Amino acid sequence: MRIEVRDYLKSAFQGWIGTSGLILLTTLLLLWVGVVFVHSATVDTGMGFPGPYAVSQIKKIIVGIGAMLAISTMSPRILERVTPLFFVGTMTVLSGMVVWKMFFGGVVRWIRLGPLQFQPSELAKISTVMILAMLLRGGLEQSRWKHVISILACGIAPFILIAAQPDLGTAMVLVPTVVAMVWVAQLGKRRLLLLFTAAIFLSGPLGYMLLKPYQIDRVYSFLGIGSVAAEDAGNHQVTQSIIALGSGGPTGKGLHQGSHHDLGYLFADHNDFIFAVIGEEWGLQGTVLVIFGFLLLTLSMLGVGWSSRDHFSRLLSVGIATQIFTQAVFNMAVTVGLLPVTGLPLPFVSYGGTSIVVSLMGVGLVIAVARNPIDENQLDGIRNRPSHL
Amino acid sequence: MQRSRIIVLVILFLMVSIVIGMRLYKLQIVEWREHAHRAANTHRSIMYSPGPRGKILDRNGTVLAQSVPIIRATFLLSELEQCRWVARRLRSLLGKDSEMYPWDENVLWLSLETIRENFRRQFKSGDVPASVFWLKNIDPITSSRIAKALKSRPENFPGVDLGINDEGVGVLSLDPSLLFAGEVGVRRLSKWHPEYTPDQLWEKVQIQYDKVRDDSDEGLTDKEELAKASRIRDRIFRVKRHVLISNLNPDLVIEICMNPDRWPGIHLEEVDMREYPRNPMWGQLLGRTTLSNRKNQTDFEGNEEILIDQFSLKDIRTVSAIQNVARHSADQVGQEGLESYLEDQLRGRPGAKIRIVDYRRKQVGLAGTMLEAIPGNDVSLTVDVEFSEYCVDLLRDEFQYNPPLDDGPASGAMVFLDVQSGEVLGLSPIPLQGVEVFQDSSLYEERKEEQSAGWFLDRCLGWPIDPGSTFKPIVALIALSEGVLSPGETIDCQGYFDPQDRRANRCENHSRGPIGLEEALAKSCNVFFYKLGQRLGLEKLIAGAEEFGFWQATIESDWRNVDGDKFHKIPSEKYGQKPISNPVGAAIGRGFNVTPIQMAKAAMLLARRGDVSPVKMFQVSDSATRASKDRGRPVLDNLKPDHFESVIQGMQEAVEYGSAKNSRLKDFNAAVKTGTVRVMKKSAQGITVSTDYKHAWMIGFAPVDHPKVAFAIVLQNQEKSGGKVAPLLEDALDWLQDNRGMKFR
Repeated sequence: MRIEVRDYLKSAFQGWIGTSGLILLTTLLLLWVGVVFVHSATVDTGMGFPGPYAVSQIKKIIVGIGAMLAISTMSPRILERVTPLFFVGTMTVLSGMVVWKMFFGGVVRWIRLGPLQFQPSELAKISTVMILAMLLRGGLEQSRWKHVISILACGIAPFILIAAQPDLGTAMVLVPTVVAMVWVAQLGKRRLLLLFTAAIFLSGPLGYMLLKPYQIDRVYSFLGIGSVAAEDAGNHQVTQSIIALGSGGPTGKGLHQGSHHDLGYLFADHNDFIFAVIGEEWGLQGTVLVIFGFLLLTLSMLGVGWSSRDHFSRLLSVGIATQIFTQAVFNMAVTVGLLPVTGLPLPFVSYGGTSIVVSLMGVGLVIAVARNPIDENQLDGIRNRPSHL
Repeated sequence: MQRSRIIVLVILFLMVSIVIGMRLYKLQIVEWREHAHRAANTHRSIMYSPGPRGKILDRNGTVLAQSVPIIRATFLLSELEQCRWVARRLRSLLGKDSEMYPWDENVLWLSLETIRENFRRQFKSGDVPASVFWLKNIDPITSSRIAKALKSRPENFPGVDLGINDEGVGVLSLDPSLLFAGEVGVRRLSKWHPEYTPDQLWEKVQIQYDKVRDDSDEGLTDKEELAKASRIRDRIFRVKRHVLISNLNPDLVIEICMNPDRWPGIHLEEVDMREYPRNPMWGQLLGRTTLSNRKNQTDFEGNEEILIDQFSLKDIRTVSAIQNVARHSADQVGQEGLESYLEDQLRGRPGAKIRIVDYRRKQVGLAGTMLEAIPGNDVSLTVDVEFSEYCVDLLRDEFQYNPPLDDGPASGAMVFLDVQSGEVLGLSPIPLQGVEVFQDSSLYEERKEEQSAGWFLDRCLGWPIDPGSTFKPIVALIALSEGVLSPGETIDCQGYFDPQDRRANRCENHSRGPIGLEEALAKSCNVFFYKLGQRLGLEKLIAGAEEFGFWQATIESDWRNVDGDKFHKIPSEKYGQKPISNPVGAAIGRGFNVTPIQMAKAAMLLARRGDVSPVKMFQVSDSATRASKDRGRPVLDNLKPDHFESVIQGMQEAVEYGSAKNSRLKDFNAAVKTGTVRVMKKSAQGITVSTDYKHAWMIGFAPVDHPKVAFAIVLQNQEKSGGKVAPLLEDALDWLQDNRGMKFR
């Protein structure tokens, strides 16, 4: 018993030096930046640290780190085994929410379990990456058509279910994730062609079914071809964000000195527009550091994928890395006016519960891959061959 | 191969990061100052304050008109009236496509208005409920959404509360005291100001609210007009602060300052109110001020002046550059009298304070001064208010014992000029009318209708009447100047001018026989002056009288008003009417009219032995003084010193044995000329007939040698003759002697 515990603890602590440690460190730094600026965005000057929002953020971080550490101890094989169940579970929950919405109407994005509430769409992002990693890894005994249909189904189903909530922003994160994973997976040319054609064919009807008028308005206002009222409404938030961020200049106005968000001109300053708060208070040096942090995190994760010998592990790393980076870029691009408003939080930094926990779970998955490399002797020739015609 | 594709991903991610980085560089380095400037402009709100208006003082520094700060309560409609906002926000929370909640924003708003009506009734009876149900059976999803909105922005839903039962079904309730706190606050103001009822106060809000109703621009089809109407509505609703109560009770000011949350939408503003401490003294002369009206604003545009608080200027350089030509909508603008005449001197220039405002445009912290307001210049008059008030009392006492013969107000004037300097020392008109007439509309209408009473006219400056025999000294000097009268010449007076018509143009002031100039003046012989009038003819008579300042502006101003070289007249001054025929009658002061100040000026020129001097009412600094082109020249050509001495001798003899012999004026060594004018009026048939009314005049100066004061006094519409004015003059000269150290002997 003592030896088992000792072995477990030994295995728990080994493998943190190197890429895993870098990923963990970068993540913790981003989390710390998030806590500091959420505090700055939500309390008056002079109030002690941490304020109520920062305390809540820290609590969620603790939960997330717990989940991350727990997942990081798992072997990719175990992860692969639980993937179908996990995916089916999240899809079931999402489907149930859509059915609920059909009967009772409204916007359904959250599930409340007692004092806790969480967003299943966040979990669905992870489960989608995992199921696609499993489907794309190769070695499956499936016909071409079945393979393509499986990939489509597992890519489109979560997209539709999330977009129907409606949460188009979260759903849009899946698109580059899926594309990147398909790209890296090296599908055969014919399967790739089939996949591409089907996606184009389905995008029209999907767009028609899923896009709400206000979402179309947002796109139009971004393109500058919408109605004046829609343009004003959509552009106002981004305009204030740009003013806040731009007025920070190279070095920022200082912590708690961000007058533009402090005076309430920037709505959602502690979640969707936290990057603008960083830009206002910390300046260009801060925003560049945050971008650098995300880049470092993503490249570290891609490095894990690079060094993986197992296709599932590689695709999982690539998928998580792409997802985190895409979400970060979407959020920053909205803040600087390069994209229309999407409602996506900045991973690890924005105030939020499920987003932080799930993002940390994603980090945990990558760390699990990094810390539990597949032994060369365990390589499965079939599993490690790319799918071919 | 997969690894090489990972490298492609790395490159792609790097490129995307670079794009974001470049965008950040552009925003935070290249455009940094522009965004910092925009942020600062958004946070800053410039509050303009009117420049204090200058005072009007008398010669001794006594304040005649000044601005005093008052606090007034104003309201911003967008902050006061929350119902529309609450209805709109709730409608968006209920979801657009929901069949469960089919009501649009208007229906929700009307439901709130119904609750408001009930609340008003309950408020009057004192039975105000703490909570009222509004919407029930809200599904759990919507309830959750509403709860989130209420939690994140409670200020957007004042008084709105959501209760959720165990099944998650929500019920919206309202605290009417909070939702309608704006209206409650407005109505509650009447506790401190019982002169207004709660309904009257709320009516002021309702009037503005009606202007911004969505259907208020029905019928407009032109896009520009619609846009303009929309801008006007927006300004009324969001920008303009409408006045509720001026001159707030100090207790109320403290209450609102200490508990601003109990008075949502109500703001305190410090503005100036014009005060006239000696009111109604010189009410017609001083005039009044009001806030700028449309005519004023048109004049401002013509003068290229701007109302600064209607502009969104943020740059201090611009504000300070236009400060000199800027006005403020809370400025008191002179509308009549000296307030209007001296507008350019008295008006202040607005200042600016800068304040930081949050997204709700509420001030955060204290306001800082950006530009100091420039107070207007004080203007000192040469007139002595204490002396003038004493003379007014003399006039009133006279009419108290001898009321006017008609039903009109007691009417008279006393004007005193400093002979040496030409300054107006005393100006005492009755009736007096102060600013109270403009505060009481029924009084205003009543007096406006009484045109003949002339309430709005200053009797000293603006009420010309026949001068009567007081004009004779002037005629004498004109005749001497024109050579139609020789020194020492006598004219035979048999009591009538025209032997063919002995009933007209009569003289019954002395015994028959030849009479010289001195005696003719002393005894006021009409026939002597009829002859002079006949000899002079109307043209020479008028030309000569004009040299004495008749029928033209008397008071000289040293300021250039707006039109550059053109000196605008004092608004209260009227010039009278020249004679148009009958030089014979004109020679004894009949058939034309003049003002008392013109007569006082003529007396002053007599006292100065014809040495012309302007009449001044304003004390100005040396730099503002212009050299009078008239100063120092003789009033008429061909006049010698003994011509003046003859006339003055006659006026002295009036005191000794003439028309003023029963007075104490000898004690003052005064030289006077009396005049009694029988008032004529047109009958119902249009015929001019004589009445029992008389105007009693006396002009002159004292002392004869080294004269100090010249005067003109008239009592109108009463039964006394000119000589009876002497006691008033004696009392006035006594006062000057006792209180101002003037010596007449």
